[in-house]
Amino acid sequence: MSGLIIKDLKVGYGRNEVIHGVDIRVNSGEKVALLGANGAGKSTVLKTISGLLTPTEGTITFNGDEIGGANPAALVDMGVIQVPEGRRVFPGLNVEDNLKVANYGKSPDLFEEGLETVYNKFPILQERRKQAAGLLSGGQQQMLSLSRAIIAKPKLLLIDEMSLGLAPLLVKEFYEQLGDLFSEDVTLLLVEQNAGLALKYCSRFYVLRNGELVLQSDSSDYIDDPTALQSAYLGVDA
Amino acid sequence: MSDLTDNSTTALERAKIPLPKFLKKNHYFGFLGILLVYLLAGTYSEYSQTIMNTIIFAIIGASLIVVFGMAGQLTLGHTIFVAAGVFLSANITTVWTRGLETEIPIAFGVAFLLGLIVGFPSLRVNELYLALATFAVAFVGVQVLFEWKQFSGGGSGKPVGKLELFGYEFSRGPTLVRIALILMLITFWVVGNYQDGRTGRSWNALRTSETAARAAGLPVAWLKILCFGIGGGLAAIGGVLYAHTLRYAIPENYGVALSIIVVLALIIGGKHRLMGAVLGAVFVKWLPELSRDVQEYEGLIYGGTLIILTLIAPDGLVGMFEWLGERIKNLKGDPQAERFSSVAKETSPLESQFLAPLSSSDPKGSLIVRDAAVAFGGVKAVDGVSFEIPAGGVTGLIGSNGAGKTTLFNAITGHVKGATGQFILDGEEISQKPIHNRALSGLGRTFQNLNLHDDLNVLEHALLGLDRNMKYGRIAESFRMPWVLREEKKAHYVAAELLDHMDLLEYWNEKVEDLPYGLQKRVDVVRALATNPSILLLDEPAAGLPTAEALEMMKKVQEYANHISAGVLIIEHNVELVADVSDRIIVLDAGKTIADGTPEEVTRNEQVIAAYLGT
Amino acid sequence: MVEYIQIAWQGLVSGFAYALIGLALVMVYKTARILNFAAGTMAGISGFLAHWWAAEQDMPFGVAILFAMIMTGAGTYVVERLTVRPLVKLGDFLPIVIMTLGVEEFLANVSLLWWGGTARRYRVPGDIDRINWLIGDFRLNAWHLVVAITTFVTLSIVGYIINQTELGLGMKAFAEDQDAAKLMGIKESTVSIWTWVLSALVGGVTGIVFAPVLFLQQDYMNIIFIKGFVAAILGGFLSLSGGVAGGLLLGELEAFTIKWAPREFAAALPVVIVFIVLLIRPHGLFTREKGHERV
Repeated sequence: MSGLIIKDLKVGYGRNEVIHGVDIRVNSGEKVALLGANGAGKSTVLKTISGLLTPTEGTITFNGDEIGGANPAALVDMGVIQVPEGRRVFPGLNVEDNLKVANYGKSPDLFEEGLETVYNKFPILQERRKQAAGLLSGGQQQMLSLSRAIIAKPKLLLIDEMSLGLAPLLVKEFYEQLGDLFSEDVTLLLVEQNAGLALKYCSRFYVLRNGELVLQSDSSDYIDDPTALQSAYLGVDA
Repeated sequence: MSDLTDNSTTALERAKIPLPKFLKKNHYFGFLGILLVYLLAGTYSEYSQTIMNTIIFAIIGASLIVVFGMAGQLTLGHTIFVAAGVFLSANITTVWTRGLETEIPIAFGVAFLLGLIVGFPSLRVNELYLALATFAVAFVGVQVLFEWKQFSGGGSGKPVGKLELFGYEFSRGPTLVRIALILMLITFWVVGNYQDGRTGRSWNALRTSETAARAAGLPVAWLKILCFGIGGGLAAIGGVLYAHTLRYAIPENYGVALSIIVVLALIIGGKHRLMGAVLGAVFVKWLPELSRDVQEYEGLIYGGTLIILTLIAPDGLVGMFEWLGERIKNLKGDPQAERFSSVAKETSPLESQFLAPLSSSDPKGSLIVRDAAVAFGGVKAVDGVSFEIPAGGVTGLIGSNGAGKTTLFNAITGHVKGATGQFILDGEEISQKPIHNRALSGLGRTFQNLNLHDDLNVLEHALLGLDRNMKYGRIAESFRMPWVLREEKKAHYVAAELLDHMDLLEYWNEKVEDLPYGLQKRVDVVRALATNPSILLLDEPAAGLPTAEALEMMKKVQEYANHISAGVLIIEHNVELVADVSDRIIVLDAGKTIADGTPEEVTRNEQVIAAYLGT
Repeated sequence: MVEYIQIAWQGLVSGFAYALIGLALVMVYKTARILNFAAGTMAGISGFLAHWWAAEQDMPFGVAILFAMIMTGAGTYVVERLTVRPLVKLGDFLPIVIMTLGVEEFLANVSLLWWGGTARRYRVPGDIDRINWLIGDFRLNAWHLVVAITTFVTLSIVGYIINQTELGLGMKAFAEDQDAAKLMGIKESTVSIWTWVLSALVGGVTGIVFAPVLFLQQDYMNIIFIKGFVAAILGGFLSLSGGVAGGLLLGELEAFTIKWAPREFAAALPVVIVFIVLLIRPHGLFTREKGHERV
């Protein structure tokens, strides 16, 4: 069984169950989006896959290995890499140190190689490599956050809400670049509120509302009219 | 029960909620225990010294319950209050040659004032810092004492004068033990009264959630400093007794080591119960009596016990006994059996004699928000939001993730620093007021992440909201005056009806942490409703609830809001629910208002759809 | 003039001790948000071990120090795993503070049983602590010079570990954003344990090098612990360099207060400073509010 398979996943904070049994499947090399309004539980699903949260029920497997409830560090070793919501760069560390953290526990040679790739893609980061990441603009921080993922060499990439707090035009650029930044065979699960953007990049999508899946479909069905998703998002008819 | 058709049965009676009484079971037990020691003290005079030390430690332990057990302020500087008592006693008896009638009030008063000063850092720093800051106070306190030779006699110390009361001299030994027992009785009585009254309830509330305590209108800053004052004053009474037992006051006895031991003793005994103070004192003072070997390894045993108890029984010996007691009770019978079977309500609790007077046909809760703005670093979370809400309506506030909804709430209630703009509630400007005063002005709120008080039961949450209605002072509370009980009883009746309205009555005695999530949300609402707000700010009341359950709760909230003619402002992700309950919806995006209108208008608004779907 | 230089030098030497302990405290607080109340006692035990082995067990001084440091590291490892780690998962820090208090009580009594309560003074090789040079009217004690050099070397090593090694990078990343650090593959328990050990070693060095200055007494490091804490508060508690600077500043303040103020006041100085700092600049003297201090 290759790819990411989530079965009947339930997650909660304390007694507060926020994901009430979700099934998601992302085949190896496939690009899939997880959509929904805010508070729907998208980030919770992602955090559970990357090991920050532990499922209360259900299973998560990646390439046949059970990964539900595993230590995030062990998951990173397996190639499960998350680009966190809100970028989450280390503001006090400089750009290069931020990238070095992404190579934590791995060989320095690999780092040199990764660094070259990153600087090729984003020359501005090379220019500012000694600057504290907290002083970068929002867009540059997003570049840095994505670059950390490039360095970590993902097999399964989880991207959480890239559009949060960034200008729409910038977000669009990032989405257009994604294919170029990561190799074709990377399996991708993308969380996004902004349906229009995500549909263009992903072949399939799921919509989550109040912790339950309410819709799954091929992107091509909605790509021309994302507003048709409104009732799935909001639970009210337009 | 069907013959009861009028209001003669109150919710309180149906749920068999006991009313506060002047003397409780615990009082009789405590009194018997103290009487027993009182009688035995004369017989076993060879143990007077140990008994005396135990009593002193129990008194200091009780004073620590106030600061640490109830208010949750971990203090390691408690001995400076004991030292204050000791050296004041030495000076008063020798220099002024006066007796206990002077020593005790002065020791209490001075230590009370000292406590207010020592408590000050608790306003500025977190608990971790505070522990260290008070540790430093204890450390430096001894040194200052040591150097202040006039007062303390320096390294060689100062003798303590005669044991006198109004000129009558007493011999030490058993008589001193009896005097100590009487003082212990008084101390325990006072601390116990706080535990039953509004002050103790408020301390418990601020310990478990300061944010929520402020939102309920409690003067958290004053309560925090006050706990140090009262705790310090009571500890100084222990100090006076210490002085008379040792008959010689030496500064170095009251350093960090003693500070740590008194905290340790209380934690080992159990920091939330007066019985814990007694058990801790007995443990620390009688263990060394067992044998010489034990005496040598005394400190090692205390440290080791604390380490083990912290891992297995954080509530100390009392906690262990209570846990065992529960287990035995559970073996005997079904614990659920005692819970009252809910009797069908003949009339709505809103029409009961306790809630009916709150009814009002005069809508309140008009809120004007002008140019509200909040910035974190360079990011403007709320960027110039203005709107006006008429009195008595239900308004929804929606918007995408990070749109600034909760931040706007926090700006209105004062929970975020550095907010600018004007907030006017029912014509009164509240922008400059501290959180609890805004709450007293009529803002009631709930929290996204609940912020309940883990150690309080459901009823106590309602009583917290009613705190402002209880008209009795803290001194009256200390001595359990009749009007204290009268006010408490009244509040209990009101609280019970309110719980009944929110369908929480049968859970009144449950700790909130044991309740399912949906009921916890209701408790949060009850606390806010109990404050009788002009406007109720609900932050995601439905999050994590199935829509049906959320709707049912909202119906109850609306009924109550209508009853008292209060307004409601509600943040909610569940648009379906917001559209259902609101007269009007305001939509925020990136800190700005992008739409404002009826639910139909808003859900059709293209900009809103774009903000949600991002096209 | 020379008198003032003399006072300033005295202040600097005490300041070194406060700076090192302040650094040790900040290190653990910054990465794990924990205050270790046993830090002073642990450092004291290191000092006792080294000097006791050297003076009473005839161990060469260098070997004794090495053994003491190994014991400190190993002991800290055990303490962290046995007492602190099980509580971290609960997510509430009060039990952890209480736990370190228990550890403090326990260890203080171990050392009391072992060495007794009387103060002792062990000789150091070559009686360096009794050598005084006179430079004009300025008196320089040779051991104070050793203290200065040791402090400098220790600070450099810590600086190197934090700024140049992967462990240091992990510590910094963890201090800034725990969740993001976990997502980068940094293990919480690894970072935590090495921070504790490093902090204890810094404390141990302080204990060893200041024992000849202070008299070895069962609780001789407690006063340094308190002042190290004041140093950390001066520095804002989240900045390593701030903690060091705070320590040096406190040393100087103290030295000059003793000269000019009554003894009662000099004794109360640390608490007075804590209160003033908390009143006017709760975020410390050297950090901007909410600003991100570079390590």
